[in-house]
Amino acid sequence: MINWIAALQQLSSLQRMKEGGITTVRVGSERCSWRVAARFDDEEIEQLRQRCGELGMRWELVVNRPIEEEDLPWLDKLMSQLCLWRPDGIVFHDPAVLLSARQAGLDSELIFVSDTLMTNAWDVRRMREAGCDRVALSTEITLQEIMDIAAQNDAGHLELQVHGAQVCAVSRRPLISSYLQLRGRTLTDLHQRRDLRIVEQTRQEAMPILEEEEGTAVYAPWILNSLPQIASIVQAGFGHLFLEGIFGSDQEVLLARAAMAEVLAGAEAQTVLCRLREKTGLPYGNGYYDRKTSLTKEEGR
Amino acid sequence: MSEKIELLAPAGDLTRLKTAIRYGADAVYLGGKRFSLRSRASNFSLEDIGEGVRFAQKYGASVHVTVNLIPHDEDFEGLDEYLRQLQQLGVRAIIVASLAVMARAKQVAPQLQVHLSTQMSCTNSRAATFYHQLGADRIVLARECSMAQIRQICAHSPVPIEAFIHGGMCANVSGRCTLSNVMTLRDANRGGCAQSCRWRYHLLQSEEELSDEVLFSMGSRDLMAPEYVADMMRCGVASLKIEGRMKSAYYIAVVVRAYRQLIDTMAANPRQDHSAAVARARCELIRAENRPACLGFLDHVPGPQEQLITTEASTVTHDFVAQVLDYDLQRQEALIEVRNHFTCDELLEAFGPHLDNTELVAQSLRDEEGMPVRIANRAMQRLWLKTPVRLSRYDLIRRKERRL
Repeated sequence: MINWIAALQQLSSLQRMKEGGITTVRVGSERCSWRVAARFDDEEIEQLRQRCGELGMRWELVVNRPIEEEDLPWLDKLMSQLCLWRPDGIVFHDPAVLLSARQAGLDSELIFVSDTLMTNAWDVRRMREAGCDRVALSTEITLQEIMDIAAQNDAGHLELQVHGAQVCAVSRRPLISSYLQLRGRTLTDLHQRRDLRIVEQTRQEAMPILEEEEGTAVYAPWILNSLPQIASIVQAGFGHLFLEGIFGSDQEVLLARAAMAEVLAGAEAQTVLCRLREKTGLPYGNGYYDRKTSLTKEEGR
Repeated sequence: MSEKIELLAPAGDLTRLKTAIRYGADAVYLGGKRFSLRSRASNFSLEDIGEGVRFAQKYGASVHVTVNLIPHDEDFEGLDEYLRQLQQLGVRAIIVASLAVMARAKQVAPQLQVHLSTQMSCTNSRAATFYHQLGADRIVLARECSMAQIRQICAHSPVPIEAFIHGGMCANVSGRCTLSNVMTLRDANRGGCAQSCRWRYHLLQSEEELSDEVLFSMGSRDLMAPEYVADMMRCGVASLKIEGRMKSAYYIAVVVRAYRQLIDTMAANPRQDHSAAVARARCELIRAENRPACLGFLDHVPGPQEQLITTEASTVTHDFVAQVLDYDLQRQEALIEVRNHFTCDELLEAFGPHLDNTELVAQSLRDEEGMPVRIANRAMQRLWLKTPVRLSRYDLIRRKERRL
């Protein structure tokens, strides 16, 4: 049975998430997350825990803030807190989290989401062997590559993002505020904004960009939508499918999930996609499913 | 203070490899025709690598080969044999950005050291421990580490640490950027980076444009950190890495020599104040063709002053004009190969592996047929330059005042 995971923006959406076919919510915490759909405080996390328990839902915590050397004691304290919270899963990319969680004796599922490193079957297997319970595939690979990786691993322990914004660059620098400062400008609530975009001067596509205390992140100009591919993906045996909602809403994620259910029940994918596009007005795209990246300028021509 | 800190220089080809070693590098890193991140910079055949290793060994230096792309399935084809060949050629280490490649190397070429690339973004000693457990023999730290963090990591890491000291910097975390993939389909993590971070962008808030006539850019100033060499040596960093496999031989000579002299001065007199030596090094470094530079993350998180949003005027103070091929003691003439135009009466400066910066003015120039030449303006032309300054093969000549 597939674990349908959705990024959560509002606690009030939990019931609808459950009814909409979501089995797990992925949440951010003020303590340890950045570039997430929402960062909940401790009180909200408590409420979430209780509600998920009542609804029979799982919840995963994103622990992706940069971990520098002086943060290691903080990381140990965080693990103590997680022993109390007991999330069903911990999403991470820094191996320090893996080691710390094991040391603390946490029984949460340890989910490696690195954005870019998991581009082949062997690295996926290596991370599994190193202790990760689940590994998320990178976004910049084709559907065929995804299928090949799934075929060479236990796909039940693999995760694939099937919907939502895809990050394409992460920086520790405050790139937006630095630029604005150089130009003698400021922007209120910069770190809370989700309405900023950059457009390369010779192109048309707008790429979402955000800046938080931890740094800056840039996203691809499309919102990934996998309706034409979802049947193949499910057939390949992926155990975990993730719907990101950082620039959308819980409602949009639920619409996407419902659309996938329709297609999996036999509806024609393009028709469902057209309807979804009309409802949301979002720039859905296929990501890299059918576009292979090249090594050089010459190969790319 | 560590007297054994390694100075690790980039080598884009055999000429630059030899230049780096002659000018004082303890080790060089290079890429092969496959498996390496800088696909345009990588033009070492296995034969070239072998020649490079033999040359390096004569100087007591070593060669590291980058196998640091983030591989797709097809990139593993031929890898095992390649790794075995590198081992056989006497390569000391490979630099990897894949745990699977690391595992393969340990299995098929166990004599090769495996260094974890900055692409893996290691920023703390606990992550270093993890990678050590999986086989890493050295970690190249993420460039996002401050000096204070580097100090602490060295104190707690079970593996030696390598840190960048000079060269180009990405605005984004290495190994986590696919801007180039998105915008050009060129894979940033397999050698095809189009440096999209340095392009110009409109910055919008909903429909309102926040950028003005100077568009937004993510470009970073280069790293130039001679001030931190002493700290790095004191805290036990194993290797100082210079970025720049695409840079010229002149650049390599200037930069390697500057850091070599600085390291040697500090190692010889560890308790002395080295501010004068650092200032001298800085003065040398700006003689090479750099972008505007900064201290990277070593001192603080880079802010507005470290971000390049315009094409800033270069701070370079010298032009490379010629390479010395030979010197005839009797005639007091140097056989040179021209690289940039200069005239007979111009004030020049020569330097080399064993030659301090020395001013000279060409007393005369003649071509190989003996015909006098007033202006040297044909690239790669060989000329005889008359000067009492005793030059040697591999010395370089530059113009002291930059011509505008």
